[in-house]
Amino acid sequence: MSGTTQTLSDPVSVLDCLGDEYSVRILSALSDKQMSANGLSEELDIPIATVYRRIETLSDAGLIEYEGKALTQDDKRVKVYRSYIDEVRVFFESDEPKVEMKKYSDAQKSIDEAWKRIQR
Amino acid sequence: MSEDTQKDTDTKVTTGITGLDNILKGGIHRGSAVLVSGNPGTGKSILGMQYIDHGVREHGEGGVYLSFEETEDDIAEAAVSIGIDGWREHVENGDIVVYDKMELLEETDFSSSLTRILEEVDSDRYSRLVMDSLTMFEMFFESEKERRTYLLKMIDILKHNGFTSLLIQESEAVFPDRDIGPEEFLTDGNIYLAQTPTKTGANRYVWVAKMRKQEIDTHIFPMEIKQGGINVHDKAAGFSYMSGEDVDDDMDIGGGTRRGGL
Repeated sequence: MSGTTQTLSDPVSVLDCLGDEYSVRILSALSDKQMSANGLSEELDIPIATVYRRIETLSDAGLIEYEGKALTQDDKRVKVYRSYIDEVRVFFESDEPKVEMKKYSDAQKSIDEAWKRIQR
Repeated sequence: MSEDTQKDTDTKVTTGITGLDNILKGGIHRGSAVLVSGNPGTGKSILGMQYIDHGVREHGEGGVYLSFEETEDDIAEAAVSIGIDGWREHVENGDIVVYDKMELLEETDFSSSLTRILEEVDSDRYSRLVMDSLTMFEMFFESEKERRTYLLKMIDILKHNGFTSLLIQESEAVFPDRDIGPEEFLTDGNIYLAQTPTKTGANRYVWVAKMRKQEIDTHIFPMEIKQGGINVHDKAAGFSYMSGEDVDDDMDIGGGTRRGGL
């Protein structure tokens, strides 16, 4: 019902992503809007091949989601991505680090989107 | 009707309950989100239904009624039982849109309902909204911080779309001996409904404690729920929360006007 918190079985892959400069910038860019690989490459000034690789890694780690296809201004259909990560927490109290990831709930997403529409 | 009613319609939204509109000096400031709190059975939902029905019948303003508590049928029955005869018809022809608990409480459907509601609020047809209850809406959010953030966003969205909203809240303690929650100060206005038991039933009261951007009468007024809905008496009760223990048996307490805080 509310924002979902999950404990990750493979925490290192997430920590890996968060340690990578490009991945972190992509995550930030996708935190409030959906974007395509090309859009990310242009906005963040990251080579397109790198963007593609990072998108794959980020998707595998569950940090971004494939949202579907959208039309660009010149009428091309492109895959767009979005991040719904609200918070990542790392706990060091046990032998293995524990990583918790909190995503925005559907209710939060709906309200956030409507709210963004009125900010324009 | 007072002579300035006409010029007020742009800025004031009448509730349709004459006594309450008098307390509000003409109605609720357009675009406000007003918290309506009270214990179970104090008439919160009835106030909401009257408000929506009045908008449709008297002002041609469509209404959105969200209920996490009841089914669409229960709501219609309750409306008809207090004399809002046209409720079903208004729902059928789309002047009133009801989202009931069957839709809203479905975990997977809440966000899609919300998306549809938020599209509905984009439309010019609707300008009044009742959420019954805010307490249930808040359960969709994990932490106190989230609840506040999303309540504020929701209020922003409603306001931006030209809605004047009543947000109903179940309160646990009898007023005025209750804690002030974040809802009280995040909303533009607070209306409290209360009842005290008597031998024959209940004495009912309404208290408008706060209303931003407008003048109000902050006395506590007696009210009744009968056929036709809520009826607020035009004379204040012989006591007032603002005057504390200074209880006066004289029913004719005048004045009591103040500016709503900002």
